[in-house]
Amino acid sequence: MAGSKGSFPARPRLSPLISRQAPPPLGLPSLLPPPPPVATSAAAARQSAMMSQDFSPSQFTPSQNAADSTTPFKMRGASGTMPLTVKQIADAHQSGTGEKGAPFVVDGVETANIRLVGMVNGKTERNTDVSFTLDDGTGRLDFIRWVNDASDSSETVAIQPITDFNEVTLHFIQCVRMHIENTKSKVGSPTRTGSSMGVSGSNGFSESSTPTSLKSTPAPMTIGSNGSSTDLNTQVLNIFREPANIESEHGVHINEIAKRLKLPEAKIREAIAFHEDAGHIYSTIDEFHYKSAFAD
Amino acid sequence: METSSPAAFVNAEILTMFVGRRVRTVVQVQRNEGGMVVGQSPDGHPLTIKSAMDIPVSHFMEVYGIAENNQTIRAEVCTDFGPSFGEI
Repeated sequence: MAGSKGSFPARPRLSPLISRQAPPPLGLPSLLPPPPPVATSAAAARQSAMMSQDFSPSQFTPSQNAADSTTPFKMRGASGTMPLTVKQIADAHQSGTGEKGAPFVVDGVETANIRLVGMVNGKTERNTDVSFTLDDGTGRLDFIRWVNDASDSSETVAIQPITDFNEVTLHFIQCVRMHIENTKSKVGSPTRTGSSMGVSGSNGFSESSTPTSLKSTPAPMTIGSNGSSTDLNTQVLNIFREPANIESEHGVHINEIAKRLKLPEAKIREAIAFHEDAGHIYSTIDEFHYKSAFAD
Repeated sequence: METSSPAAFVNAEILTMFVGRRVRTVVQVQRNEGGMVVGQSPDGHPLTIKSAMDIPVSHFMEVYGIAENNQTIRAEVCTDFGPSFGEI
C-alpha cells in the first residue's frame, strides 16, 4: 500500500497518467441518514479516500471491510488535482450547468481532477462495482468504483489509505488556501502579486501553523499591486506559486518564465537567485528547474 | 451528496460557540477513565470526550461529535491519530 510517511512539503510518487475526471455520479440515492448519536467505535473505520484521475489496481483493496478495519485510505493525486471538500463540490454542482462532460467550476476555476480526503463508510461490494460513501466532515459523497475500470476510462478513481494523519490537516489547509487564492484573484487587483507575498510573509517557513492561523490571515492579502511593471521578483515568484506549477514535480523551467514575462534569461536568473537565497524557491532536477518552497 | 450536518473544526476556545452542534477536533489523550477521555485541546485546554474508544495516553485522537457544553464533546466517531501528530 502506498502509504505516505513523507515529510512536508515533498509529495513523491505522483501517478503519471492524466485523464479527465468526470463529475461525481449523479442520480444516486445520496440522502443518507445522519450518523447515529452514539459512538460508533466498532464501525469507526478511519479510511480516507482521495479521488484522482488515475487508477492503480494495487492501491485499492476491495477486500477490506469498512466496518471492521481501522486502516485508513488516501489517494495519490497526479499533477493538477485540486483539493476540495464535499461542500464545495455540492455548491459547484448546484451552480454549474450540469452538462455532461463539462468540467467542474469551483470558485470560478475550472477543475477536472479533484482530490478529497475523508472517512469511508457504507461500503457495498457488488459484482461489477464497489460503492461507498465518503464523509469529510463537510458532507457526504457517494462513490462508485467500477471493478473493470479501464485505464483510459474518463471516470477513474484511485484510493489509498492514509497512514500519516497530518495529511488530513494538510488537505484542509490546502482547500482553504486554494479557495482564498481563487477568490482573491477575482476580487480587486489585476495580478496575484499581493496574495502570494501576503501568504509567504505572514506564515513564514512554519509548516506547523495550525488551520486557524491560516484562516485568520487578514483578508486584504493583496498588497498594493500597480500592474505588471512593478516588481520582477514578485512576478517571478507568482509564476512559481501558481497551483499548476506547485503541483508539478519538477517545477518551472527558467525558459518558460522568460517566455511568459518576455524578459531576458539573465534578468530571470537574478530574480531566481534572490528567491533562492530567501528560501522561497529551490531547484529540482537541474539548475534550470525551480519550484516554490511553499508548495504542498 | 448531502451536506446537512457539517462539523466545524474547533479548539477549546471556540467550542463555546458551537455548543449543541457537530464539531471536530484532535486532542492529546491525558486520562482515560472508562467511557470518558480527558484530553488536551489544540490550544492547551482540557476537554472531556464522552463515549470515547480506549486510546492510549499521550496518543492523539480525532473526535467528531456533538458539543455538549464548553468543555465536553459527545463523540460519534473517534480515530486514533497515533503518538506523533502535528509535529515536523
